[in-house]
Amino acid sequence: MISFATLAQEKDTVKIKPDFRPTGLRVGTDLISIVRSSTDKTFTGWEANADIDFYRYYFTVDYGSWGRSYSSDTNSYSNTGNYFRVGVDVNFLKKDPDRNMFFFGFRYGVGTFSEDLMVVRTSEIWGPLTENFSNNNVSANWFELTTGLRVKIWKVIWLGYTARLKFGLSTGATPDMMPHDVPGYGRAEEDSYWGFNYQIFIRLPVRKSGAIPLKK
Amino acid sequence: MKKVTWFVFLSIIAISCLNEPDCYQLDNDEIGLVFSVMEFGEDIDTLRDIRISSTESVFYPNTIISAVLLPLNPNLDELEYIFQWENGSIDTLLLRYKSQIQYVSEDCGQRYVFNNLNPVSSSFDSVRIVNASPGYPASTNLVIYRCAKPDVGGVRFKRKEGTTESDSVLTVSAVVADFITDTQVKQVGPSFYLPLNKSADTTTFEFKMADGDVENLSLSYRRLTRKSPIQDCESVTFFSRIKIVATSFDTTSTRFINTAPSGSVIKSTNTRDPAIINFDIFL
Repeated sequence: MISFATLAQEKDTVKIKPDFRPTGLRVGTDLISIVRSSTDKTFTGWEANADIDFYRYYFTVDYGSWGRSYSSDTNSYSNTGNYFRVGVDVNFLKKDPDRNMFFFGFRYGVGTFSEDLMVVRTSEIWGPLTENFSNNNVSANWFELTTGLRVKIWKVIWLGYTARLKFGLSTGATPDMMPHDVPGYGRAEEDSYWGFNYQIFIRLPVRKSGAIPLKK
Repeated sequence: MKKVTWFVFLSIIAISCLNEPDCYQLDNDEIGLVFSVMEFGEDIDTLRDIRISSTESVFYPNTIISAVLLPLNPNLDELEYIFQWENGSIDTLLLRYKSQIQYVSEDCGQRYVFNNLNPVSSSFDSVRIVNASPGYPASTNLVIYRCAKPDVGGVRFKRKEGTTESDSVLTVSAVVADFITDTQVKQVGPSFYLPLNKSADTTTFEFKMADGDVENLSLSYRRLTRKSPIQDCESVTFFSRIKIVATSFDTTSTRFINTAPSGSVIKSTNTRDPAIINFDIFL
């Protein structure tokens, strides 16, 4: 009796094998970087983002550049550098017909940067401490845990955000000056650091999207 | 509508992320040195001053110290500290370190970060690194050890009127021990710190008063000499059961007190380093 009931239940479930073939390439950019570059005199930067789906897994690549510049009567600091990140996002909205995303993921970031600092200072004990310091072509790498949304707004236009918890920063040797700001990561003295991107995307379909696998 | 709500919420988060964090760290450009006597602990001595290579500044002039905080020069990776003590002796400490600068923020400017403290050479008996990175606020980085020499006894002169006791500061031109011609006797107000003879069970002192009078004071004691557990130090002679056996001072009484200069009573009957006051002598 029990075995007949179990058999009947199994026959009601339709399993569809996940289709890992990509359906679209999404490319976009970070709006915060663009806005900041035009409103914040101390910052210039941009970031491009792309992802491609493999069922509910998205292989993502980011590439960007930023530079900062601060100056006062006693010091002047500037840096510039490029970075890229690669990683995977996992979409937890499995049943959304538009393939909107609420995702968690991880990234591995790699960057190269240079920075300069000029200090004009007089110490009561040591006298003048005016000096120039620089770090040139310093490599950096770090890890990120990410979460965020991707929402289809209109036809191929998508908006989204990515919140990042960055950690595990490692930089190349900087004997005289400790790095202040690592492009792609942020303040170097922080063991972990938050980042945020507010992004606009265009999704380019590469094939007609199949049915979303559902469990009845 | 749902989407709009989401993006307004997320925009607020994004704007909050743009804020620069507060300035929270400053230079860690001071090192902490603690002076210690091997086997006894805290050492207290009087400095004439401390001077540092590359600056004319003078530190701790005429100061009684058991620990000091000294600056590090961010433009150098090595400094020599010169300690001139009240008794005329001079000690040196050559310290090597790593100095780095870091830009912090527009508000805070830059900070200097020091680490890898390394006492390359010194005239002290021993120097131990407790923490090679100076902290903020500064704390102990190096402990400077001196071999123990508990070969000094202390007497303090007092007056008693009724039940009231007061210090009696003698005006003395010299104090001479019977076993050493160039006797180093330290007078601090009413107290005298007297070197004891390691080779005899008594030592007699001549107090040459400013008015020309000479007074005598003889101390007896037991001696115990043993090898120091510290390799770099010579054997140590402890003196115990110190007694005043004779004196020409016009005394009314004496009192065994065994009290440190700070006022704390020492339970052990052995001499200590730094020396303590063993007796009050009432004139």
